[in-house]
Amino acid sequence: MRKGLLLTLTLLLTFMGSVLAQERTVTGTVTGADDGSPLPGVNILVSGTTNVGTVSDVNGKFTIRVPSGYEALEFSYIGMTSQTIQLGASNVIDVSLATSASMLEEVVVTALGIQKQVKALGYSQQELGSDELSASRESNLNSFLTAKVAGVQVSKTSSGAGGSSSITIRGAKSLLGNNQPLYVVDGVPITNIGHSEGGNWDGNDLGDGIGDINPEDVESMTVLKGPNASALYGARGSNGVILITTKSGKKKKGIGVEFNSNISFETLNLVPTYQNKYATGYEETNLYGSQVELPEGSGTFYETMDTWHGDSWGPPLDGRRTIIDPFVYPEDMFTRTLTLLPQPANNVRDFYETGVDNANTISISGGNEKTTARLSLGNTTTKGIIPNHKLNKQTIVLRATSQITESLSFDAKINYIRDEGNNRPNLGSGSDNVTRTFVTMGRYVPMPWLKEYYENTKQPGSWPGVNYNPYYVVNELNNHDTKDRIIGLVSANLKLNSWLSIMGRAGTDYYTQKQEKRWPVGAKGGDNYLGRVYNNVSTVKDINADVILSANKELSSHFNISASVGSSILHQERTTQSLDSRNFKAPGVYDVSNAKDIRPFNYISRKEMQSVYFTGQVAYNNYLFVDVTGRNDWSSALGVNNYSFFYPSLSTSFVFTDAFKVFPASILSFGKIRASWAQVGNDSDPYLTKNGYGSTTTTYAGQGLSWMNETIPLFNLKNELTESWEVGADLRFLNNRLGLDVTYYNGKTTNQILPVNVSNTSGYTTVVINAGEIQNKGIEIALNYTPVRLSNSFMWEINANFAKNSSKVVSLAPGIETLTLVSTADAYPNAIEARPGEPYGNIVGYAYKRAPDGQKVTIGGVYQGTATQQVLGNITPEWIGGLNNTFSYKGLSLNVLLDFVQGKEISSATKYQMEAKGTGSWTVEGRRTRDIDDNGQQLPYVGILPGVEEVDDGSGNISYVPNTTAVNGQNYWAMRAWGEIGEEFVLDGSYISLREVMLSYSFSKTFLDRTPFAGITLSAVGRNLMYLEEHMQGMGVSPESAPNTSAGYQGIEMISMPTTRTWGFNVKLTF
Amino acid sequence: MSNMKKINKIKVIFLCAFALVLANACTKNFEELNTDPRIITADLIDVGLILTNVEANGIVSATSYGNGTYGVFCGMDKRDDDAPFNETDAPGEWNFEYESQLNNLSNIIHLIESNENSADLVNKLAIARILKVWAVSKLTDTYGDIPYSESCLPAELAILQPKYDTQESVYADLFKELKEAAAQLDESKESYGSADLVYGGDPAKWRKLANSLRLRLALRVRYADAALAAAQMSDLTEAGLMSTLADDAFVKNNTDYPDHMNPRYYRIINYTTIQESVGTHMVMIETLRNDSINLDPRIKIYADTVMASFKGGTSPNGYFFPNYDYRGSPTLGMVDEVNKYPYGSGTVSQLSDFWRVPIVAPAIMRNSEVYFALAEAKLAGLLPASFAGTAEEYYQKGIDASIDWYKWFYDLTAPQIPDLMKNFIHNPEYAPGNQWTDADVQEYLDFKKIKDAEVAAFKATPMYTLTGTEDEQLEKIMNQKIVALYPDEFQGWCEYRRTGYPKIPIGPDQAALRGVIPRREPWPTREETINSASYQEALSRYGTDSRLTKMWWDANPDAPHIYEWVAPTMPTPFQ
Repeated sequence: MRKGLLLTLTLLLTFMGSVLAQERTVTGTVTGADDGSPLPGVNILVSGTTNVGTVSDVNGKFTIRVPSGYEALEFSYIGMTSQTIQLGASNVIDVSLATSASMLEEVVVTALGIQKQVKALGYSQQELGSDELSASRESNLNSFLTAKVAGVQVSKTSSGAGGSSSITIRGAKSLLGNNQPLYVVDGVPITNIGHSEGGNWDGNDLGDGIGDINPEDVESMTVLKGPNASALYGARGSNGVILITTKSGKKKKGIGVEFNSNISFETLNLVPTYQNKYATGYEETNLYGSQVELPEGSGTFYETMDTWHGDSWGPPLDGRRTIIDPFVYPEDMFTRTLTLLPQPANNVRDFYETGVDNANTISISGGNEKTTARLSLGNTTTKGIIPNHKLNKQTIVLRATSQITESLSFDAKINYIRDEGNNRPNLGSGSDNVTRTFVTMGRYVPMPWLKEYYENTKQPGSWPGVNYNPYYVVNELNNHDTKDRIIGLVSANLKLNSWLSIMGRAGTDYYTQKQEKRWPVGAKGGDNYLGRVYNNVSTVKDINADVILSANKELSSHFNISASVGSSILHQERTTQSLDSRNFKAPGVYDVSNAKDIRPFNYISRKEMQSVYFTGQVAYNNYLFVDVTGRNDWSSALGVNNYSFFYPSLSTSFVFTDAFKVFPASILSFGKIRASWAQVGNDSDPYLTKNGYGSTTTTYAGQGLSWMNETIPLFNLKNELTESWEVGADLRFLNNRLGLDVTYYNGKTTNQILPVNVSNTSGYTTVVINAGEIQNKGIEIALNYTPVRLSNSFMWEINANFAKNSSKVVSLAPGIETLTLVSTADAYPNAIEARPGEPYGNIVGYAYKRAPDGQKVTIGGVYQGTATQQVLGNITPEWIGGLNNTFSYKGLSLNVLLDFVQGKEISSATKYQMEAKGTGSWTVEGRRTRDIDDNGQQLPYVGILPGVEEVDDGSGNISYVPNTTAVNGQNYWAMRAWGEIGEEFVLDGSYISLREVMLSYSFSKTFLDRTPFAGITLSAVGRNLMYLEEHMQGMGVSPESAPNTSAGYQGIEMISMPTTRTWGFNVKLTF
Repeated sequence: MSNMKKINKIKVIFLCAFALVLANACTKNFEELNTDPRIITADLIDVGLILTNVEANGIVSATSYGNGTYGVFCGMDKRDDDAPFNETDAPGEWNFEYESQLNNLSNIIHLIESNENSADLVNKLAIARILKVWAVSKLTDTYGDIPYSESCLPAELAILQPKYDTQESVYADLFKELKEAAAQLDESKESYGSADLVYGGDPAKWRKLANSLRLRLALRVRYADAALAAAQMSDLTEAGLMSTLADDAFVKNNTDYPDHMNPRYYRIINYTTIQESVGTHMVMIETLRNDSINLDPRIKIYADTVMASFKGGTSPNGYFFPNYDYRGSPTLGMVDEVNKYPYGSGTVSQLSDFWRVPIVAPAIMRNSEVYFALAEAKLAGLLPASFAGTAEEYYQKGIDASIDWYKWFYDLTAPQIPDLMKNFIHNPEYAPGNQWTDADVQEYLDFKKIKDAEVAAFKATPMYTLTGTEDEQLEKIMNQKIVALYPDEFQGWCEYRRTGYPKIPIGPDQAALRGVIPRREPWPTREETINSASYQEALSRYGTDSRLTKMWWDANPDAPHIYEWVAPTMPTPFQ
């Protein structure tokens, strides 16, 4: 580190040296503002340099040579407020420095909304202020955290506009489940149920809970990373906590009006790359159809193409082959011919549209000594890249605070959110995912015909090589959803005396989400063919209430003690009611009353948790802090005798720069070391403690059906326990120009509550276990540095973060050898697993069978898979990081953010499909360019796979000779997919993304004085612009393509939507 | 002052609220909160609901029934897109039997045995035991050694990694179960009634099924342990076995829900096109062509003539189809185009559309199988003296029973044909240029009906007599048994493995098994990781977990019998 610093300084010095031409000499005296006495030892630095400086002498006098082009001096002294003085004509400058309060009086919000000084924190937490949140407007609040906070990995599902996002803090702690942090808005937890159902077969991503919060209403976000930071939130905080503080009114004269308008455009970045040389069929020749004479009696026969043969291993699209044209209306069947020729290379890209997102927020705020209020109205309309995909969102927030008497105050907020989604894309590998249609579609298929056919007939139609007419899918398979959500909060604070206060708070998060999906009569699929409408109503209700009694007392001039004791209750209820109505009496009437086959579903999940807790802090001389917390929860989800569980935490922080004032601020401005230890308990989903029989409204010939549940419950279910310790240091150098925050943490979660798959030969598929241990340890480094700060206000700031987490599954329950996170069926042909002794999230499948020398083995010229499954990779990155460079000059600022994810693998279903189907651009290799010679005679195959042929001499002796057998395209490529050689589909998922480039300009005060505005900021933002590095083998698929937000799926690409880049413009006006 | 009082009042309220919340740690309602309101608890469940579910899934939705998977291995049918000689695992049967059948059946048995009135529930118990034997026999006949004795215990006793029992010991228990269950059935006690989709709970019929299943399984172990086979047959009587159509154990499909329909029909509406192309097999076609002397009339129900739906020449709407007569395909795997050209989908008979209607009748066992079993057992000298018939008499009864069944099947399916033909098969939207009229459909149905004269003519051919060496007679019995068993491909594959008949023509194959018909399915890969110690222990008995590993009863030294045949080649598709 030190070496790096020196190197930087040297380089800068060299750079400076080349621009130094003329210089002037400045002299003067530095005095203390309190008593006017001279100050010796004051650091004086030429602004914009790092090492051109001097120190004042015993009389406070100094002399400094200032290079030309530099016009300011910086004066800094420990315990004094630093000053920057612009140089005028005079070469004599006298400066008086004021005493500062302690260097780092920054106050942050911590757990339970308790405000603490940064220096008193015994654990790592990171805050993003409104600066970071403004302008670079993303519709989902989570996206703001991308690459900005050490140890926080943000991923967005590949589900297009309005989709869910996922955050993992310091690795996955819980073996299953989504490992999402708890979101706490103004002290009250809200739900963030990821409605990302894009698993294997179908589903639409309805967005997540956090996406409902309008970023314009957010003042700051704080990430509490470990259990140590979030011990007080108990079970729900065990994956970390994200505290969100929303804006409230300010005491000011008049009213403040703020208007923010954002428009952004979403354009295609990566689209799967297609071959454009071979038709549908097999064996490079065979179309697998029959021969039809045309015209009848002519003696000339043409091949037909059979609808059910959909793979692109047919003859070359070279114009040498003419078939019966399948792309005709039924009445024209067998009357036309079609010569096989390639279609325009861009035919898939042209299907998509440019997405547009338009977000406007206006807020009015004001206040006086007693009350403040803020009202904000937001409206967002979004159009996705898939035709007809549209979203609408309105948010209203009203926040009021009132100091009723000297000792009593109220705070109340109501936030109403209305979400509406239309035709959200169908995801997964179901046939109604248009991306799936494209990756499997025959390359000879004329897309304009599909469009014309749909428009003229309103029917899907069927053609060889077409999975499901995409124009029918996006126009006829409609879905519509709405969400009405209210997040409310009231709190009251009463000061009982000078050191004791009590706070009561209640919050609710309540929403109803309705979804309707329609399948017209004639849609594909046996479930849908007769017409179908699916209606689902889900409600989510969370009620949180707590009461906290807080004391804060100075015991002596050295000791300060503060403590809180509180109690809270959480009641959760989730309901789902759906009606799946099929088989219409009359087409086009999408109502349950029009259906002959109705399947209702009803589910209610309820949970209650009661808690008491305390937190206490002792501060010595305001530089040594010791914190203790303890919490006891009672959860209804646990076993009858195990409802109650207790867990403590202990942390300490020591600001050694305050204790020993030995370093000048120009060297070490601030130094703190910290250590903490914590336990956090966790409960489970409800209903894991009882078994029974399930039933359905479906009958067989009028007889009811029932079955035994396949889960073995755990009657004595106990809580999980995460135990973690961390040590760290927060160091700031060079008058805070260089900041370094380092944390090492080590945690383990034991007694995991897991429904684990077991051998179904037991008679059950799942058993609830209450055992197992997963370990996460790692290091996080956050660095901020201002290498250049010129007196003309030009500044270059670097914010970098790095996190390395290693997770290990230490044990599972006895008799449980492996925990399947994502099964083969969902991640074809590989599975994602956790196994004792291995890192979390192994990709497991069949590898290539290899000879002892490592070469791939062929049999009959075709690659073979291994007999047993092997570990093919791991889905968790070795390290993640972010690098943010900000250049600012006067009102102008340029921000460039890079996002690093390195050392992870991804299992790609797109590669699997395109290789099985022969549509991928790379599958042209090994296929013959002509299938018949000029005389119509078959030409031999050309594809010889590199590898060695296994030769068995008949008595069990195996030898290997170089493979010389030429095989056809499908044996060359598709046998890897058909033969389930999973290794072929595991790719290096590392990447460096140019995540964001933002240019913004704030108009100067002098300009604004001539306008009615108090501030005008214009910005242009580009997000997800390009990958500076990725290893997806040119497939045109992004390494960030998880189909949903659960942890295991983060290593799967499941026929994802095309990756897009976003360009946007933002105007922010304040009055 | 009043202000001060007000504040005090507020303080009191706050403190009370605080105390109230603190004291709120009340967990009385927690157990109720944590109970899923939807579950039916053990004390409330009616075992009939579980039985109906098992039967609906196990018989109606069974996936290996007539979809070509095992048909290619026993000469029943074939699929164009199949690669039958790959060394892949097929966990479908495994998962289905354990997750849908054995667990629920074991549960019924456990619920009844722990019921205080269990003495009155013997019929319900016995029926569950018989069904369980059927399910377990399918499992062990697919995989060989399987978890059985430690499998599917009540939840509180569940063994998560059950050991694999040898097939020999599994069979011993299956025989015991069938014998005990048959003895347990009691016409005077209550039964399932209409919850039993097979026999409406009739104890007498279930007893016959139990005995007939025992005959099937006894014959299956014939080559591994002839004494055991004979011993299991020694207490059987002809009267105690299934003997007529009324004894057949089957469940008709139902159109109330799509997944209760015939899967072939469901696939048509699922893809709104005739997705599947299940070709007929050369073996079935050769048997039914009856040396071209007189067609076996069952051939019309089994297959269509090539290209010409049923008659050839010009179709009813004037479209020309050449008629290639009945033509079956050999079992072809990964072969070169030149080997495939002679057997394109347009030049091999397809299954007739009778197999595609929504309601067919998948079966556990039919009476024709009993007669063929008796014919073979008599031939091998395994039967007790009480079975008076000759092998030939049983053979002829088997053929008669099968013809009766094909007639019955026609009567069941014919009324469903018009809808299928007009809406799908011969609808121009799915089958361009090929619209059928009512008259076309009627003509088709009239043609397909098995007439008495055709049956009589067939019975007059040598096919109806059983002559020749013991081996020749066995081959004849097995060829006819395959026709009678159709579309139960799985039983066909078992019979092929056991006896080596029928002889199967196989083309040159490039896949892993090189054209050798599998003897079993490998255990599911998952077992290697999730139940590894038990898996390894079983593996140590088998050596390799291959499709070519022979299971215990697969001990016939003469099997398989080779079909002397050279696959023809053709440079362009056969026309």
